[in-house]
Amino acid sequence: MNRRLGRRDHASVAVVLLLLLTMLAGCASPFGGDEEERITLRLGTQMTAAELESFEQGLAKIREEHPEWDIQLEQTPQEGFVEKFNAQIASNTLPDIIQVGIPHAQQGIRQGVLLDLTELIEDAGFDPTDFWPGALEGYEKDGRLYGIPLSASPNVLFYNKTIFDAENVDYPTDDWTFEDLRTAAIALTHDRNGNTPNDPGFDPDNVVQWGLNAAPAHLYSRAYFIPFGGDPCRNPACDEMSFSAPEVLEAMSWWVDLVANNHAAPYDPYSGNQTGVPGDPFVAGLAAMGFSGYFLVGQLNASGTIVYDIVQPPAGPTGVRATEFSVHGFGIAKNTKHPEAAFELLRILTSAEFTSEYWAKPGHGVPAAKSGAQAVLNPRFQPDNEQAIIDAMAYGSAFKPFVEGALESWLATVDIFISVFKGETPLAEGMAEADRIIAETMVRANSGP
Amino acid sequence: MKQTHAPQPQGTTGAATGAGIRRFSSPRARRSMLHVVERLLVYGVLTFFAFLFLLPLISMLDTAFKPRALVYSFPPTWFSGDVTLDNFRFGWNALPFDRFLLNTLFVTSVSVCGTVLSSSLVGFGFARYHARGAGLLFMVMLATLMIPPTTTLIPRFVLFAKLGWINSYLPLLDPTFFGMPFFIFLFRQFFRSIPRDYFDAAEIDGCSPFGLYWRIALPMARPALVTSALFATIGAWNDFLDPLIFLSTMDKFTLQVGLATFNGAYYSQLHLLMPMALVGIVPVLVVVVVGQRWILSGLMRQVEK
Amino acid sequence: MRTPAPETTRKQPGRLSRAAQRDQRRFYLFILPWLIGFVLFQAGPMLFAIGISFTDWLLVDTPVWRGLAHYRTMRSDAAFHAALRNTLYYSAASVPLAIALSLGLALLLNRRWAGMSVFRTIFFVPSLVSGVAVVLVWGWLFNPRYGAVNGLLGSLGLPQPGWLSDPRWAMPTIILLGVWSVGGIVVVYLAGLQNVPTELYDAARIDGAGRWQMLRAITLPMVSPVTFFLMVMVTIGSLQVFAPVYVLTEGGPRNATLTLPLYIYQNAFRFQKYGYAAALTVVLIVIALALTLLQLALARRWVYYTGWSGR
Repeated sequence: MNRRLGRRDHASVAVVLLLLLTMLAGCASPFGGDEEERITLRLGTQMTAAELESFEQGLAKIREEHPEWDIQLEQTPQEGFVEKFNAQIASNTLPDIIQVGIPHAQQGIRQGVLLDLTELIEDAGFDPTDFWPGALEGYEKDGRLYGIPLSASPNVLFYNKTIFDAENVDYPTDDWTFEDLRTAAIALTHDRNGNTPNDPGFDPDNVVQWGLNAAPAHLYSRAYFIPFGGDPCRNPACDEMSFSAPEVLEAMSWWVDLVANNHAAPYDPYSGNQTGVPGDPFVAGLAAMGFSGYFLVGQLNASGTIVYDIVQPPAGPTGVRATEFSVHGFGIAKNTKHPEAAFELLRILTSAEFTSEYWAKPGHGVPAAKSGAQAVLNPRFQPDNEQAIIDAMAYGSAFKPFVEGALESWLATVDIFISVFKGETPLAEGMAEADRIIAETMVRANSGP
Repeated sequence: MKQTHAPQPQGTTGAATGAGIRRFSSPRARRSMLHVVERLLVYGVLTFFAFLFLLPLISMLDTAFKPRALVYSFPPTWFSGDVTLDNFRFGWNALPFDRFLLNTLFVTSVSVCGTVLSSSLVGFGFARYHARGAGLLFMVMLATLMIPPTTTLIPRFVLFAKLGWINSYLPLLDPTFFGMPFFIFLFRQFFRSIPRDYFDAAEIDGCSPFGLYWRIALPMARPALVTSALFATIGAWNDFLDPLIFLSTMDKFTLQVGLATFNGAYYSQLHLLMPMALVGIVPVLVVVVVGQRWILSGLMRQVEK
Repeated sequence: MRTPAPETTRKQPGRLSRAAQRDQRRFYLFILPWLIGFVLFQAGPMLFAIGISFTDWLLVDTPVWRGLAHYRTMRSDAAFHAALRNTLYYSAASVPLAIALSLGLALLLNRRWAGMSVFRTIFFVPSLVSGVAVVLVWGWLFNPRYGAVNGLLGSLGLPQPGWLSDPRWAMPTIILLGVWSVGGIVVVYLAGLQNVPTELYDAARIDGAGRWQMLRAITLPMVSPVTFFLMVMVTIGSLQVFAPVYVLTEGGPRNATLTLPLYIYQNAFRFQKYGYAAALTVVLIVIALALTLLQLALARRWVYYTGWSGR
């Protein structure tokens, strides 16, 4: 009796299992289709919906012109890019061409998974000097080039015309210095009684309108220091940084002064003093000026509530200007089976023609190719002074440092900057502590194992 | 007066200890007073929490229906009264959402079937039978829940890449057919709540072990079945990390991955993200309402019995 | 009673031992699907993660053996200490809060009054909204300057905390956000409450038991298997808290919301320290296992299975 029962339940469990497995097998999706002599090129992107829309139009045209290529678009939302990139590296399945920003390009270079394009560039007679050097440098290591930038958007000074008009302050110009900036910022700051920081009864705890939304909130704030002659990067590779060097301290003290003494800029670690994140006072119309990249143009125009224009970042005491780029670009996987075809596609995707038409005109960013820069001049929409962007391209640089351990240094020191700006830690002491942590966490490029 | 016969042992409000003992002796008026007070209290507490729980949804609705310009205005304007469907129209057309919805529907329905069937089967094994190593295996099973998914992500990706499963639904579906620990544990607990006599009696009547599972355990754990189906639906519908990593081409994307495409590192298209996120809630909301009905009807049957 | 008879018991060579063996066979047959899935898809990645915790691995080359170096590093890693503290803090605060609140709501909801099904659905709604959308909404609602929450508190004349931007308030805010996901737990509790046979209450009522007595003598013991399940699951889940801190704070301000899962993520995907991330994972698993074993051990005292002896 027992044995018979036993067999029966073996059978029923087996049937259920079989059923499950058949269902499982049923969902296997057949891969690929016609395989002729076409070259399959996997193209990995990390774009937003708006970027994809125009990019796919451009891609359709490329597909038409190159029927010999079977381009497979593999798109990853930006949120999942880091995970996917690392997983693809570990499983040796990176797409032939992959869209990488600078930190991940540098990671890929360190890990040896990106193809050295130097020879391909020479063979193809390709001219990398048509790209803004500040955008290109993020894809370089030891004089070799591992990727080509598609767009590079410099931070420029955005200003709210409505506030300037109401306060009767002259608009910023491309000739502004940081002292002009300070004067205007103070004049444009108000507490709830209408006092500016220069008035005796000014209440710094109840500011309702800020002059400027900006402060060097963390490690990646070189552009705030360089005009004052205090670049925290100690060498071009920026694998050594110092915030406690006298000239850097002096530059930093200008900003601490602006925040803590002039009360002309808020210090809000929550919004990171970034202009363009939800809750930031510039987008809210509560700050007269702010530094931001080209992406803010799209956002401000979308809401349409702020009348604004832009100028170049102000000059320092000796006339030096600086800005940093947010960069998009493409690299090629080292293990690609079709390096030539992949490079050809990469060239098309980063060409001035392609990036002008499908990146700059829809408003996603500024072409990294110099010859495509004009595409950013758009008379139909705000801002009027787009020329400021093109001018800033010339002296822009990639966000540095991008050596190993840089992100760790950034996260580990962010609180120190907060506490210095809040006046809880003396400037020199805080910056010395930051240097100690940076020295501990950041890996020097040449100090290999 | 019907209520007095319904099971209400769970009152935590007004009713003082001993109220039940004096039930039949206390005056009718006082009792009904107490009932009114209790009702007010219960409804009051529930309404407060309902408001709290609806806050995010209200905020999403507000964002989805207001004109694009107001979405980005700060400080936010709440309920401007300016209502538009533009965001829904643009959002729907910005990405192939019909495709995403179909894909999600497919993934969800398959994985719900898989999850409920396989997990209840395994849960029954853990609940009903004692065996050497059962305790250890149970702990091992729980341990699989203790690893952050980010740590196993890379080895799993490598494994699935070797199997050629990347950009297919297999990495998402296969775990559901082998029993999901959360649901196994849930079923185990519910099966254990069924008095053992039922099983023993059935066994004496010649019911096979599979019969015990199929004819006794499953029908008697109906609330658990519906609950796990609900949870499996929500879990699969909202699953984000796995589809994000294992799917590569847009034609395979699920809803959540599609939604993430509105969200950039610098700039999010909130005016499109919110309405489409709302559209994505509707199907699960329907499942929840229907599912809750089922649980409720189970209750009714018990009450009327 | 139900423990399998040891092989050596010769006194009853037939029935018990054979029954135990039969039970054993059936047990493994039933759990076979999970066992197969575990061996095929989970054991490998799990063991891999444990193994890699003794190495340095850059994803591309063969891992370099480092022995216990990562575990030693933890001893002096301030961020790890903060993460450990925060994770335990979150767990200790959010688990009792979630269990108590959801049991309370479930008890209130478990009535045949008008509108209860509407409330049930409403409580479940936040669990349906997932991902970026809802976390962004939290960011808005709790924005110290323009958020609706502070707007409301301000109009009531109450103090307006800095929420996520204030190191003292950041973690309590994250814990508070967890309250919105208790809807799922409420549903499990409701299912559990409906499994309680009504005859028990009828009998108790005849015996003259009051509501409070019935709650303590019938309801709580009868739903104790569900409570136990939820406690174990919510505890494990609380040790995995990641999404809100990842999206809203990145662990800040001042590491106030840095949790172990977030620190593991940062090490694996931001710092390229995969070996260290794996070692941190092992620590997290050990903590979770310890807490689960503790709960299992304590369960013998308070979890009641109808007619089943022991676990």
